[in-house]
Amino acid sequence: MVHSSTLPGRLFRAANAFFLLALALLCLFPLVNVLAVSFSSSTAASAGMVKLWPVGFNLASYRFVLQKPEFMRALFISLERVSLGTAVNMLLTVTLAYPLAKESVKFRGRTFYVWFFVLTMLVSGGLIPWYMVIKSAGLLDSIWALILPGAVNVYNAVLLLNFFRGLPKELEEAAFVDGAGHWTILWRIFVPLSMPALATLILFTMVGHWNSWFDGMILMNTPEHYPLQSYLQTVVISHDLSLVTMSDASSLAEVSDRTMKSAQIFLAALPILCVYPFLQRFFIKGVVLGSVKE
Amino acid sequence: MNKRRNKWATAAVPGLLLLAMTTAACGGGNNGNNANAGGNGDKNASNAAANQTANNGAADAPTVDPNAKYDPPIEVTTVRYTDSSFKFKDGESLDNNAWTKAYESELGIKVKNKWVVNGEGNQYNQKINLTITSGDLPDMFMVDAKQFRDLAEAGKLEDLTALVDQYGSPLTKEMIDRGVNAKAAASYDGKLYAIPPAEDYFGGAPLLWVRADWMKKLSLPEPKTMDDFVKIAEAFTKQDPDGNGKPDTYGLAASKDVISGYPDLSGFMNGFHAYMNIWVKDASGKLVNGNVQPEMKTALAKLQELYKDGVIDKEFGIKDGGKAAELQTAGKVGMNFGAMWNPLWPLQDGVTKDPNAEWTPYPIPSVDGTPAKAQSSADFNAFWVVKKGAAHPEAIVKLFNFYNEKIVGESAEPAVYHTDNGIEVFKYALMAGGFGTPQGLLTVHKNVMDALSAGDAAKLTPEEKSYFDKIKLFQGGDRTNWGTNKVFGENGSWAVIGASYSDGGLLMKNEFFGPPTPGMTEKRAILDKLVLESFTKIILGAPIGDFDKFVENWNKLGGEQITQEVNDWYGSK
Repeated sequence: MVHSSTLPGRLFRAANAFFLLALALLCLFPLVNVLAVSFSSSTAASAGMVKLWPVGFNLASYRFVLQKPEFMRALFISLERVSLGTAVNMLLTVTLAYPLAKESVKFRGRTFYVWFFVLTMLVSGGLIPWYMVIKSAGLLDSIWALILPGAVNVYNAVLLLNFFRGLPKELEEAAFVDGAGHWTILWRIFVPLSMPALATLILFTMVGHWNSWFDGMILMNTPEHYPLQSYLQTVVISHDLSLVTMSDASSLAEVSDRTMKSAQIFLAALPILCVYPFLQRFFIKGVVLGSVKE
Repeated sequence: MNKRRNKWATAAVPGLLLLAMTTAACGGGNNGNNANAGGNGDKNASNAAANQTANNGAADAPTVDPNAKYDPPIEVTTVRYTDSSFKFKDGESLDNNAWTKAYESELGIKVKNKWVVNGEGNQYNQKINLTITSGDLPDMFMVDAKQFRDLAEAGKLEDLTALVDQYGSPLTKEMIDRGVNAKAAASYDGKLYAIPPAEDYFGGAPLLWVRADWMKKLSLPEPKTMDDFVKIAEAFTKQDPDGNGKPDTYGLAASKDVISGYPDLSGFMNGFHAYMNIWVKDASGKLVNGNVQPEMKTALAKLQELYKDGVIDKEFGIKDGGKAAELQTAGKVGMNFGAMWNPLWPLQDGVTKDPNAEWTPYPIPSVDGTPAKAQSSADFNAFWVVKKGAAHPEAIVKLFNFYNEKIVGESAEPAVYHTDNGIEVFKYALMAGGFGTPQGLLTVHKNVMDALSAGDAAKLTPEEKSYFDKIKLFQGGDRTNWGTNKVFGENGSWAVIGASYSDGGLLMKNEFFGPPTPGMTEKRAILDKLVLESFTKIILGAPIGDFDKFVENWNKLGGEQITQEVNDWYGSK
């Protein structure tokens, strides 16, 4: 990263900066457009006149969405899901990663257990067995159906396992000598030392829970129990225009109100947008830290 | 020694845990199964009991009262969908509303929704597929054509033929018998296995929509022939009809789907006697697919020419219907082919925005002396069926009787069951939506027109009355009701459909309306993609000779097999 002051060097940096800036803007444009549409008047939006700045600025769509019981209800279910789901996921990930991080000499069945879990990453039962297991377990239509089936994320556990292995063995041994058991070592040494990795995994898990919609739609028996993204999915989905009947047509105009859609999309993205910057500094550090073992 | 035991312990503890977890899961599964088995057993028992009482009843008094109330009340399970067009009064829901209350108080039927999904198409479909494969069927439910065939084939549905005969009201029988093709689609092996959807060939037929104010401004003739159409399209593109001095207008709307309710290029193809995605009879009386006929080549060549001339949006290949509508709403497009409901959406938006905008529907213009026929396929894709072994299979007929009676019958109570203070209550009913207009919308149009000229709305049904009121508002100067007037009022969609497609017989119906054939189930997705891609490429400028290659590919990739199957079906019909 030496700053070269030669002409080619400066040219390269300028081109680089330009390229990256263009890339960043490219990612930003759709979001800005959605935001602009959400603040625009409905006619301007449906005529496609809104680009990056609101046309006919107003807050009507936000007022409407925030008063919409469906939206608020789904938002609370999503918040419940994220907090509950992240807690359960992290607890299980940490308690799974700890024993698996031990060497085979200390924990004989280790290889078997690692494969037992890794196998679930490679093969899965498919949609229908998945559904039937959840149904037979009596979880349908409860918030646990969204949390328990994915409670052990093997990928995250492997990440954390590698991170645990990177911690100095001497710490563990010293603790043992002082009379600490496995639980004490896990909670008082490993977990506090792994904060960067844990923050990363918390972010992964939170985003994962926040974004998933399919399970909500399939596993909930009433729309009142949908989390936010399952609800949103039904709002933004494009209608199949080849099968429209008279009663559909009269509601098409209403359904295709783009300002309303945009307001809801933006509001749904907002919580995660707020969490991201705070956890991001751990993010990069965490992923890299776990990956290399001396 | 001590240490070794420790190691064993560390290895064994998670092992035991796993074991415990898996056995717990298995136990749960077994319990579930047992519970199910028990449930089935109970149902079978009660079914047997019901049959017995029915038989006894039949022996004692051969005439059953088809509308007798169940006493004590029975419970019937079903599954439903909602979408954003469903509105509810405070405290009401699909589980609790005017219809569910009436089912219980008037028929003695408690309808229980096992689940409700938000989203009518894909979402409902996915969920019902899971429900079917996991064997957790409700007593009655709605399926699409493929699910219907699979279930009927597997013997999982109740035969409704005798039940409709025995319990069906005259109105119910009329509704079922009116749609000959729909009834055939709801039958398997000559037996009726479902309450068929309403048969409507007019609702999806394309019309030509033209910006009348532009036509007048540029003093253009009405689009009577394809030549007129092309002349208008080019004038709309090149003569600056919106008068802003910029060449930013298009003659014809198009979207990446090529055909759909809006915008629908099949209307243009019909002008060349070409029919996209439907099966038509050829000279020898065999069924052939419209996509691979020589007329289609001519139509595509002309579309390519129009695209090159800038008549069609350069970016149509990446825009869906909603996106394409933006141009039209912005007042940049002068014509489109599309279904009768187009005035409600998207034309209404543009008319609200621009006080000068006015659209007029025309029948499809023809390229030669033979009048063009508009293509139409009434897709039968919603069948209400009863699970084999349901305790009260006749309940579906009673529920359908009740719906017909309350919506179109003598004792209809529109304020309670149709629309209550602007809330569309009829959507809550089972077998509603597309199931409830015995004479179709053409009759609605005629009745509304009669009432308008007589100035008397007393004889109208609630649905007709709602259109009548909106047209009255439009006549009073309210342009937000322009759409309804354009659909049902003077010189509207149904006026053209009535004169040309119904009375003039200028309708080309899809001759195939059976369940998907095995070849379709397997290969239709690939073929649909091939058709769409090939057609789009040709319109965008690929050599027209590619059409012959496309036909060859289409036949090779399964088209030939499907054609054979379709003709077998046609022969056995």
